[in-house]
Amino acid sequence: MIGADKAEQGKEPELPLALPSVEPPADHVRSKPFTSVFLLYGCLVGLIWTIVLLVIIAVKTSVASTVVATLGGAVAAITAIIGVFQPPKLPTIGPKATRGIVAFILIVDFVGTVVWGGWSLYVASQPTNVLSVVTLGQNTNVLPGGHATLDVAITAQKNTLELRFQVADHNGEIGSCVPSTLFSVETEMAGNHGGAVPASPGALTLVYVPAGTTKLHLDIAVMNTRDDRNCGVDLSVVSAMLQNE
Amino acid sequence: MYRVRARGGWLAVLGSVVLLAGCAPEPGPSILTGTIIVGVVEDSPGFGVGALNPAGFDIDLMNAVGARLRTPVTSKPFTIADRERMLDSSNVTIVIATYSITPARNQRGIDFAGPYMVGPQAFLVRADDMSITNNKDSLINKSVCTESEGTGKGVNIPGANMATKPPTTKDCVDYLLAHTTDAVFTDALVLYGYTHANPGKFKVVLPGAFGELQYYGIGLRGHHHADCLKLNAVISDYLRMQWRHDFQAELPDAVAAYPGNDTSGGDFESQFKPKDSDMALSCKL
Repeated sequence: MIGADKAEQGKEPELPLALPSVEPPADHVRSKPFTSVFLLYGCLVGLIWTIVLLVIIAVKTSVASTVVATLGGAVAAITAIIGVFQPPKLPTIGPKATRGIVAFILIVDFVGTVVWGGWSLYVASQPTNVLSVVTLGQNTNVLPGGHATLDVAITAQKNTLELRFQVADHNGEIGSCVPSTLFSVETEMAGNHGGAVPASPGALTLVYVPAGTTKLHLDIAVMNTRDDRNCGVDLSVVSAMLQNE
Repeated sequence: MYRVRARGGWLAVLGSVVLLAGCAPEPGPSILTGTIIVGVVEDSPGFGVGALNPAGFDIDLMNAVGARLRTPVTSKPFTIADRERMLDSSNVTIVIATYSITPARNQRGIDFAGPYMVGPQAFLVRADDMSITNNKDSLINKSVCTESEGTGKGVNIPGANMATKPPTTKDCVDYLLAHTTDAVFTDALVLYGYTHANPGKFKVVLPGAFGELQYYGIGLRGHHHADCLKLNAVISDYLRMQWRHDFQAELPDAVAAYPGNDTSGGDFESQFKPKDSDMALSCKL
């Protein structure tokens, strides 16, 4: 008995290690598929929304937007590939937390898109002054039938170059040519000629800038409405702005 | 609060207007009151000849100005070289004297109404001189005379000797008669006046080959914009109602030179009568 008692005494007392078994609440049972689907589709909608908007902005605006849109597209592609080959194992979290995360992502997404989009559109709507990078050639003492040239670097992705020319008599002592002087502006790119745009001194001349253009070369043909063949003029540019029309 | 702001805004606008007004040159009093003294040339056949009873196209225009403004006018003859000085010194009110509108004259403070005439420049040569033709190269090594204060003096004629520059065109014509020079270079219409006054002695060649078109305007001192516009209105009426008649009467050789048979050249009216758009040259100051 004593031996048995000893044996009983040598045995460690058994502790209740496991927590009491409690039945999980009913909604927790449903939360796993609900959370996964909600989180997945919520993020997917947000991502697609962002990419579409950024692509639209990139088409309309500047280089920075194109970079952001490209990165967004790349992230989406990589995410899609990973998703196909290794479906995400989403953590099991509560429905409130899930809604909170999704709402947070959507709000950040929405705010980011609106701010970035708004800023891009604002920047796109502002004209870019390129007067300092305009170079004129053969622009002094141009006679009717003669040509001057204009080269300009396209420093912002805009679809229109707005030019304002000024014409002065080459020799103001011998006559007045300005009122009878007209000219036309023609774009030359890689040997191809765009349509000639009629222009007159002091008036705004709009030249179309094709997408992706980095440099523009213009041919300016000088004419005289009175056929005053000796009327030499000096041509200058007083304003040159890139603008989206 | 709103009223205070609104009042402040109006004050700012008013201040800006006052400042702008302060920057602009003050318009002078009207010069077209009382008797208008008109500077005219007395030695340019077809435009102005004679000191006592002057006659010519410029004189016709002078009379039209007086009639339309209902103001007495009186002519004051001078030589072409004196036009600017007479205006500057207020010896004349306006100048109607084959006075070409140029930016350089505008810069020297002379404003112009008009133009009332437009035409090319050309050469007057002796009628029997066959060495100068309607070929530009025929002027090489020739002596060409042009007046010292006209627009022709600044024109480069390659190969020609341009050293002779007396004060008036009449001096040049005298040199031409005396065989001291080979050609006279100035406005074609002035030269047609000389051919008409000296029948059989001269011919006009190379019109438009050198020099620019000349637009004749009524000269006045700058900063009399309202007066300039009044003169413009007179000229517009004159061009519409009287110009053709006076041109035919005073410059018959120019009419004969441009009969209108040649469709490329047109008649004298299409050559020498200003268009409405030419008025852009006027009233700059």
